[in-house]
Amino acid sequence: MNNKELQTALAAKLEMSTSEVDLFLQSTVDAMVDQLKANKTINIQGFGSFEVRKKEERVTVNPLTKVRSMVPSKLSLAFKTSTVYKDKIKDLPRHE
Amino acid sequence: MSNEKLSIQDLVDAIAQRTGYSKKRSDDFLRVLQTTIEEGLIKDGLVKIKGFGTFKLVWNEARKSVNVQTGKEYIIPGHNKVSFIPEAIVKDTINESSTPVSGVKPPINPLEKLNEQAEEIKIIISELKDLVPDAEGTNGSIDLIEAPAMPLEKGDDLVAEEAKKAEVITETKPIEKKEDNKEAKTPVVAPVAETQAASEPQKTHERDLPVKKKKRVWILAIVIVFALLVAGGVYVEFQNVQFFFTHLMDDYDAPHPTKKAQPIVAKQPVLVTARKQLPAKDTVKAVQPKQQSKAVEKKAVQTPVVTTKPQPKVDNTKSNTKKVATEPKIEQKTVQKAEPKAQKSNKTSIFDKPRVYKTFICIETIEKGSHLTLIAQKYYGYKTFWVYIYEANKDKISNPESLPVGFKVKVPKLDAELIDLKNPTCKKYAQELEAKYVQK
Repeated sequence: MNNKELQTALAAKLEMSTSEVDLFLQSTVDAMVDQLKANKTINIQGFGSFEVRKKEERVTVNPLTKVRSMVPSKLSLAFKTSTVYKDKIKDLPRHE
Repeated sequence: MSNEKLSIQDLVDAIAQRTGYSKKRSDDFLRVLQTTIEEGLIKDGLVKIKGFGTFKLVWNEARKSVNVQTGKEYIIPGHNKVSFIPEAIVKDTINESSTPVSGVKPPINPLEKLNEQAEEIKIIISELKDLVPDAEGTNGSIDLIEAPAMPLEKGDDLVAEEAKKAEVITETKPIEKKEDNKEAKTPVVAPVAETQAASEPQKTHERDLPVKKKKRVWILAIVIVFALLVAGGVYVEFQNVQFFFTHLMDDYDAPHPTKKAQPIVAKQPVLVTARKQLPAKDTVKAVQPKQQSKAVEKKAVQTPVVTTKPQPKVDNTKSNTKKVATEPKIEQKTVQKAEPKAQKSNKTSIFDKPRVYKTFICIETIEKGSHLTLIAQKYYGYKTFWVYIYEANKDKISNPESLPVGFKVKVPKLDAELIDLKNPTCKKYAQELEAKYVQK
């Protein structure tokens, strides 16, 4: 399901125009990113939580040149599935 | 790293503000969005949200695993998992905004860092190479390794004897005695260290270290201290060995005194304290050479090396005796420490040592309503002691809380000290065990 399919599905359910849905979807994403930027965790009950995690800096070695280089620490967005949803999808048959 | 957890409600407020629609509408939208994503994931196994990221269902293959507690192998069945991959834009925005907040360090040139470390190691190695010959010449390296072990074997008696001799000297010279005591308080190495410390700084200057690298200087300092400790130990040890040989030559004719010595020790267990008083009461000690000898002999009991009779011979130079006189203090401490430890281990040994159940009082058959605690009450008089019954039957009992009817429980015969009802530690220990097993 890509973005377009998602929009049409939402529009059908909410009885809204796709442009409206688009606006909502965009603002939702923006709001979430804004909150995450401010170092906050977003918890969506029954689905999961989004969290910004810090990855420590590390030394990597280029396997070809054997050159060691330092990867600086960075922040990454992590999603943790809630146990409720985990259990829902756990026993599904394998996809594809 | 998160300092605040936001629920859907907070998100709804933010969306309503942005879109200008009512909160109710935003709330509806968000809920539908959630269910749609969930359904989409289940249906397609993939949901893409533009500008945010992709949710994906990932299949985890079934695999074998081992139960850590029971050691049994079991298979984790294959299952689905949600993975979320944020879009590059989101990643970037999060990183750029939060860099000042999280205090990310500016990237250090890794090569520089590694070079620094390599140089530090080089310095340490060269330091060690320099120091070993300084301390003891050729045989220094051998002594270096043996140093920690040697004082325990030869050192004990030798030093004790030497200390005795030092005492003999100081009986005639009370002023020097005081000096000895002062030295005794400071670590043995101190006097040696001082002499060598003078030579050390020169070396560091020769290497023309950059002053700005504080870290390296620190490491150097640590290395120097360590090396001096080792050198000092080697030095003292070497003198001990020298002394040992000369001493042996002196007392070659003396008869074996160990057998005589031991009975006296048995009568006087408070030798350590007796020795403590030595520096204070010189005259008394002079009259009682026996007590001194006991101190020596006690060590002889601990380490069966040939000891010699206490003889008021003083043929060694003062420098020798002075150095050695500092050692007994440390030994005293170690002896004192060792003794209470031994007592402790005696006390707790019943609980610490692994219990082996060989003898059994009888075999109880579990009936309906019966429980291990009831059996424990019957045989031991205290219900918490059921843990020992459980331990004895551990291999057959999977769940001590509920036993199958008709199950045969072997009731072990327990050490009387272990189930001493008057001893509160027994009950306490059993309760600890109970907590441990019930938790499982």
